[in-house]
Formats: sequence, structure tokens, C-alpha cells
Amino acid sequence: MTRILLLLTCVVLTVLPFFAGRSTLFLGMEILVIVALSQAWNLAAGYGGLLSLGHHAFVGIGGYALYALSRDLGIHVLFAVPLAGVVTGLFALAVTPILFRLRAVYFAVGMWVAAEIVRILVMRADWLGGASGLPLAGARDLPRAWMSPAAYWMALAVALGTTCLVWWLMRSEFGLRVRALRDDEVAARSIGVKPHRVRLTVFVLSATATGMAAAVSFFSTLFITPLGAFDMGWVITIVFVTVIGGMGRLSGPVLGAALYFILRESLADFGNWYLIALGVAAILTMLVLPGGLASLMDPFFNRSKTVKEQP
Amino acid sequence: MMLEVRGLAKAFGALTVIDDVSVTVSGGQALGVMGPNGAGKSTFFDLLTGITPADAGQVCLNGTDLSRLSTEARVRHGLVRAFQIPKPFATLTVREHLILAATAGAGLDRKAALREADNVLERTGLTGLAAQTGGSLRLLDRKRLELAKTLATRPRVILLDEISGGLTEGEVHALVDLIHSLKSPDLVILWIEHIAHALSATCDRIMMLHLGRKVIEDTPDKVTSDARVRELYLGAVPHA
Repeated sequence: MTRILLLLTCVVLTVLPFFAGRSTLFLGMEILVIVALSQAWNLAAGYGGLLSLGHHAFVGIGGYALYALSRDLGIHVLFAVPLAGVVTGLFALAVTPILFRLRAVYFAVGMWVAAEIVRILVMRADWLGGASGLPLAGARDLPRAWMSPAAYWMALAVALGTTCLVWWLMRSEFGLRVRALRDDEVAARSIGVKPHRVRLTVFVLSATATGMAAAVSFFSTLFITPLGAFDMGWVITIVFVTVIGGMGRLSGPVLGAALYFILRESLADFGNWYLIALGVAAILTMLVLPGGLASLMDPFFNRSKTVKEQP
Repeated sequence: MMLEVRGLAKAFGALTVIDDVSVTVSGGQALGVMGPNGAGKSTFFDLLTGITPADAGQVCLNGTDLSRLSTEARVRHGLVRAFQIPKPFATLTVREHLILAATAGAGLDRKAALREADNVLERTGLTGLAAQTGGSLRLLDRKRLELAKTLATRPRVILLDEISGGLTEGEVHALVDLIHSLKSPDLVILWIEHIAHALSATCDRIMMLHLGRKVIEDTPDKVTSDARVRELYLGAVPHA
């Protein structure tokens, strides 16, 4: 039953561009990008225990990688999007020797500082347009009518891809290591789990997916600026969506994104009031439903593995 | 199989917790480790597994020096520990614990790991609980899982840290039988325990620690009748 529903949802989402108008498609693309970004953050923070407050660094790098790759190397944007993810993953790999020396809250702040440093470097780089930003070089060659469906489909692919990746990883033998490490690091190491290798894999995969989702988002805007790309607002939205939806749960980012966009769209006429509504929703969820919205779904699934912890 | 510990030492600031301890145990043998509270028994195991780095000394398994390796690398060499306070993974099922131990600890592939997991479930009597999560187990089952996890890593040296603490008399007997059945020429057993008769029944030798130093190491009979050991456990005996 659940499978049929999921399949049906995927089909409807795929054929949506044939029926929907441009503004609906743009909103759909936004939602899918936020789902993908939140799944990626959830992989690192919710499953891997790597509480990053600097994922906007990966958003910005993914976006700028798309612009640089398509301008300097003449790579078609469709191929530049996955490549932007690879560039972001490589960047993540390069910063781990320093950032992985930090733990928990120090890691969170370290990531934040790293994101600020990257933003300042980009703002000072003339090659990347400095503070005023860059236009998307390859945009002129693309057929105008296909721009928004293309962005939507790419967002759908990245959102579904990231969700499937997390689902598959957590079912695999590697997922056991990730979960064991999150539950009790000393116990995990005591049966041979190598913590560094597991965290590195999770972190790089998370960054890669983040970079790809960001590239899709900035593909649709046709212009990128350091302030928009490295905006702390990215990570705030992602954390909100994931925490409200349920950290360490696959359905968490999806449900969280749904609530986020329902609040944002229904309060759109009241200026920034939706931010206050979001804050209230966040506090209420944390008080009443510490497991997030995803924990509401538990009674509807017959899961033999449902966790019942002894007090 | 031969475990050699030479001159192991550890101090926290001015407090010396393990002071030049050396001991050799060969395969098929079980060494009991006794001592009053604070003698340094658990710290001794911490140093053997490397979760706490030692200040000095060597831990050699079959002539290979493990002293500089990480805890997880020592597990790959076969040096594994069962914790005094069981550390089950709250969200993993009992079978998943053993699959993880067999893949991460013993380096088996998925298929072999599944077989190994079922094998260990059977040996430790946990088959009926295979689908339960670690967080939902009662104390005895947590202790059995703690032992089962170490077995699934295919150990060559197994360190048991007071695994019978908190169990009833009958449960202790069941555990002693289980440990007795593990004895083989390919396995070295080190066992910390306060229950002397449990140690005497299983161990070939007993080492007594006091304030981080080795007081005596001998057969169970000689250790339990030794005057120093009696004094440490029962207080000074007035001379007649």
C-alpha cells in the first residue's frame, strides 16, 4: 500500500511540468531543493552526529562551481550540476583534516566559521565576480521554454536521489556502522568500527548532495551573488525543516519541508510574520513532539524495529 | 596464541593507577583478575584495548606489538573487550549488533557475517531475542549480548570485565558454563570478577592487583589461600 502511494507520488511529481504553470513549478523546485538539502544535512547531523552549522558553505560552493564550470570550461549546465556536487564533495574532503579535530558544538561553530571564510574569499575573488556576483554563462544557449521544467526535473532528481541514497545507506551494512557510532562511540570502536572513516564518508556524501541541490537552485536564478549563496538563512531553514520533521528519520525532511512551505505560503501576505510562526511551530514541536513530525507516523507503520527505549 | 604484557604503566597526574604490570597468558588459558575496588582492574583493560593510552609498556599478541594501534585496529588483531556496564546500541537489533561485529570486527563479508551472527545467537542463547533492539533488553540479556558481540568479532583475546555483576546465582552459573565452553587453544581469556568461586572454577591462574601493582599471580588455590590476598579482602588478621 505504502509502496503504491510512493510510486504514484513519484509519477505525479514527474509529469507535473506538463500541467503546472511557471510559478507553481518554481515553488515545486524550491520545495524539492529544500527537501534535498535537508536530507543531506540529516545524513550528516541526524544519522552521522555531525552537527554542522556551516552547510551554507556547501550551498555556496555548489552554486559557484556550477557558474565557474559552465563559464570557464564550457560544460553544459546539465552536466555541470552533478560536477558541482563533486567539487563540493572534494572541498568537504579537503577541510576534514582540520574540522574533524573538533567535536560536537565546537564542530558546529567550526563549520560556521569555515563558511564565513569561504564567503569572504569568494567576495574578494575577481575571477568569481567579487561582491557583485556572476551571471550564468551557458544560459543563452538553453531554450527559454524549457528552463523552468528543466530546473524542476533536476530538483526532483536530486531530491529523490538524495532520499534514496540515505535510505539505501541506512539499510546497508555501512548504515549499521553509522547508527552504532551515533548510539555509542566507545562501544562501536570496541567491536572494530573505524569512526573516522565512517564520518568522513557521511560528511563527503552530505556535502556532495548539498552542492548538487544548490547548483540546481542557482541554475534557476541565472545569477549568483556571495551574499545570496553563502546566506546563513540556508542552514537556518535546513535545520528548522529537519528538526521539525524529525532528525535521523527518512521522512523527517519531507514532512518538515511540507510544514515550512505551508506556513510560508499561507502567511505570504503578512510580510515577515511567517518567521515568527515558524519559530512558534519549532518550539511547539520540540516541546510536544521531540521526535519531530515523523514520530506522528509511527503508529501507522507496522515496524518490528520501532525503537522502544528502556527508561 | 600468546598474549604478553610487559611493564604496562599509567598515571593520571600524580596518581599512578597501573604500575609496571607484566603478565603472559597463552592460548587455551584463562587468567582471572582480582582486586579490591580502585585496584586498577578496569584501567588495566582500558590500557590493553588502547581506549586509554598507556604511558609505558607493551601489549604483544603472538609477537606483534599492538601498543601503538587504535582500539579498533586492535579488535582487527583479535583483542576484544566485553564491558562491565553493557553498552548495547539502543537502535540496533540484537542480530544487527552481531552482523556489525562480524563485519567491522572480524572483517567478514555480508553473507559470512549473517551466518556468523546466527551461529553466535545460537551459542549464547539469544536467538529468540534477535529482532529486539539493544535498548529494550533486560540486564541479563544485555550482558549476554555484550559477550555475544565480542564473540562475533572472532576474538583471539577476550577481556571480560565483571560480566556476572548484578546477576543471580543461577545466572552466574549459566554464564560460567558458557565461558568454560569458550576455552580453546586459539583463545586467551582475561576475566575481571569479584565472585571468587566463579573465577576459581574457570581460570587456570589468578592475578591479584592492588593500588595498580601486581601482588600475586598463581593458581586459584594458592591465590585464595594467600595471606596477602586475605588481608586485602578481609582486613588485617591479628597475629596469634
